Amino acid sequence: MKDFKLPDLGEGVHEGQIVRLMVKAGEMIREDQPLMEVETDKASVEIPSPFSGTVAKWHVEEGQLVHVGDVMVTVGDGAVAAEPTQSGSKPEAPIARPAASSTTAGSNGGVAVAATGNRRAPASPAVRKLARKHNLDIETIQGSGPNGRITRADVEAAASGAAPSPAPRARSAAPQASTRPAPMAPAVEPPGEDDQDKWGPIRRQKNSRARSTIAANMAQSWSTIPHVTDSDDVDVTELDRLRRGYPAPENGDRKITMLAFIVRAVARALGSHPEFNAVFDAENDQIVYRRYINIAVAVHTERGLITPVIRNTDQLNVLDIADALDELAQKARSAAFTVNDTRGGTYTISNPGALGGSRYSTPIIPPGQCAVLALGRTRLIPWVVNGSIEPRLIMPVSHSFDHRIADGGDEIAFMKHVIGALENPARLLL
Amino acid sequence: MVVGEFTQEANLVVIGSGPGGYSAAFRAAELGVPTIIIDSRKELGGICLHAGCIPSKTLLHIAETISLGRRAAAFGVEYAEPRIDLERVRAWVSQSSDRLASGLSSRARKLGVDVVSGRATFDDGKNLSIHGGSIPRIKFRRAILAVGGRPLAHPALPFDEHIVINPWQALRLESIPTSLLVVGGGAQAVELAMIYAALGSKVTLAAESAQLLPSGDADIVRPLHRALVENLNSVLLGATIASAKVDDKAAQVSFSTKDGAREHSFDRAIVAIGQGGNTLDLGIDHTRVECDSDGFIRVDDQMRTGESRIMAVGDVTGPPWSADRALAQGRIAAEVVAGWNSAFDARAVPRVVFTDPNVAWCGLTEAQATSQRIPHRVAKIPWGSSGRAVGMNRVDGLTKLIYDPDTKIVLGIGIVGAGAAEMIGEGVLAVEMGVELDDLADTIHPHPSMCELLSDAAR
Repeated sequence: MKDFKLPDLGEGVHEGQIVRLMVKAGEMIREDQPLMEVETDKASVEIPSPFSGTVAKWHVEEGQLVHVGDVMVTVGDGAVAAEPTQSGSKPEAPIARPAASSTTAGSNGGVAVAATGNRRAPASPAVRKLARKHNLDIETIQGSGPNGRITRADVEAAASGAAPSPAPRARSAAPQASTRPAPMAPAVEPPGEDDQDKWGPIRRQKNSRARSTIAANMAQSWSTIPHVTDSDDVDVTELDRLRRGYPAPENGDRKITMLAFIVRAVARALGSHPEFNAVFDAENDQIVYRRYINIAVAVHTERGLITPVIRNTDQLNVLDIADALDELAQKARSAAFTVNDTRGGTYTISNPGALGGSRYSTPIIPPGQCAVLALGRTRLIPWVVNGSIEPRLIMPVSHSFDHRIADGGDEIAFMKHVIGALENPARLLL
Repeated sequence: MVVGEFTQEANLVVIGSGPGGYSAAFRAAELGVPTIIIDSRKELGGICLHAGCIPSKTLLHIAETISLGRRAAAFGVEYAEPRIDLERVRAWVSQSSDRLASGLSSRARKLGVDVVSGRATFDDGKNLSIHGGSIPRIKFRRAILAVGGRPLAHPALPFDEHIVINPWQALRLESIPTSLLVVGGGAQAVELAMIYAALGSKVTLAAESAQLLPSGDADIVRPLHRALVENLNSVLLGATIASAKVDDKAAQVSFSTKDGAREHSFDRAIVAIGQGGNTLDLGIDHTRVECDSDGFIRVDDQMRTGESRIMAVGDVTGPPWSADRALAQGRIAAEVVAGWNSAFDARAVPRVVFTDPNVAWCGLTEAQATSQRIPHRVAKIPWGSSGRAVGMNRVDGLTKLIYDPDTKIVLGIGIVGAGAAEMIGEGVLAVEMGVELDDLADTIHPHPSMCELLSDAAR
């Protein structure tokens, strides 16, 4: 037995007069069948039944004044099996169609209801998009708002707190390593065809086109260019402070990476030291100075290491460079990327520090260029400043150059220019 | 491949230029991916623009205009019976489509999207042959399939393109039959029934389901059901077509219903019982794209298929079929191609039937909540209490909220009544944002209006 109470009639209406009762005691009713008509001071309204059953007893009569919440009628669970099933029991029945199964792909890409019924934390579409941008599964983020609402700040906290993920790609079919306990040391299976050498089993993997190209280029550079590698440290404390406050508020919450400033500093220094923007032409016994500056930036992708080029870098300001870097990184991992995007570089910057490792290294100069700058991982370390020890943000750098083109003195001057700019960064904004 | 035959290389090929296709192509181009879009039609826009949504919504607006004139009699304004110039109605509909199609073409030009007309078939997972186009073959790095659906035929009443026609043909309004049978109970069927009834046909609507719009809640479908009963010759529910005899003048159809068998003759029959994936002539078996038995392509939430280079969006990925969902999926597929980590994770897709009254819902329905045992409570307000609806003589409406009893978060919204198609936009935003009842209740809505009933229901 269920009691039906007069429901809210809306717009601040709390009472009404019963005009007529539309079913009699003993009558079977279906869910949503009109039960009664109630006149309020605004309008008369048909009130439907919220459940099916048999009308056991009316508690009101026609003409009576009733209030929201008063019991109107008692309905028993009397059999109503004779009635055709309403949609209640089969909500997703296919629209009348001749015998055809309708379990389809829709359940993957299409159906948008609260799916399996497990409660999902509220999060706005913009916040969900931000989480995806950081390769985070929104369902694993702890929401700090009411009802566990996930805010923009929650996602940003989760993104910055997450361990630096070595793979730039971390979604879709493969289970998320970061969110699960590590399995019992399943050694990484190397790719390739099984084989055997005299010491045990091995695998032979045919090189991809990309791998072959990298191998040929590196071998050529290493065997033909006399490399000198210089290592140094850059105090980027000021630069970091500057970039956090940059750009002006009218540009919104756009964040400028350190890399954008470094690209800018290098482009400037190349303008003053053209030998590092040159190439050694052994065949004609010449040095070819370029009158354009195209800085290539090494990007690690699933297809291997690629170096897209920012053209005419010297003509761009920091904000332009930041935009160009965003675009390159995105493009490099997409179908929009073509081999032309990697051609024409005159100088290369590699950023292994961003992958979490490396202080100093010995980068190999790409063919066709004079030098390459590798950035190590920036960290806070004790540093002597004006005779006292202070925590400073220090970025180790390694710079390889072609000793056929330039000598040590030239290189020191060039690096001084770069480091000077990075340690006094305000001038990079001009 | 013939030696010397010209093959164009493409970073991204989009096959089909309906809402899923053009949104994918335009988004990809915006993100810097060189894109080619292929369609068998010369004009962009696909079925939606040329034989589906746009023509049907235009015609429904015309039907509503006719019915508004009649309703005005209630407040003492009487118009003469309208005279319908079918020629001009058709011209208006095709002008509307043409205008939108030329807008799409100029957008494509501005974005540098190449448009190729021709029919595309897969040779394998990276090569397409183009039939009847300017380019014979395309080798692609990525392809997005947006080929849509094809109307399902009824085994007892197969299409003959003369007496028994599909919904696309029906929207061309080749003639207005005296007696018309519309088979089906979904959105397409009820919309077509209403269009033809307004234009003067005596319409019989026959649905196999026990309720029209079976995926909607019974209470929000009821006012539409009443309007159809009033405007059509008859509405048969739980009706199956036992047999049919079709000659070149009429279709003699016998139905079996729970009240027994009956037989009627119709000048024309529209079969609108849903669609299958339009994947039959696509050479899909030369790829690793997986289809189900209805021809729908399986995709993940990033619109990827079983073939790593090929993605699919829109109606070809299965129900619920709607252009708004296709538009969203197209954009997502393009962003994934451009290297973004986008995914289709909409919590509410609007389901809208543009009949008079409109029926619209989004998120969880009450019936789904009940059958999936999701804890929920329902708040609903019939429009009889709305000052605005009363004044307009439009009390044939209902606004309902389905919400979580603990958190008071709104899980679903259903609206039936005049203008519900527009009002559901607020509902979709509410469900996507995960608003609580108080958010709706305390947001000031215009008074008097139909949309304020959403905030009334939340109190």
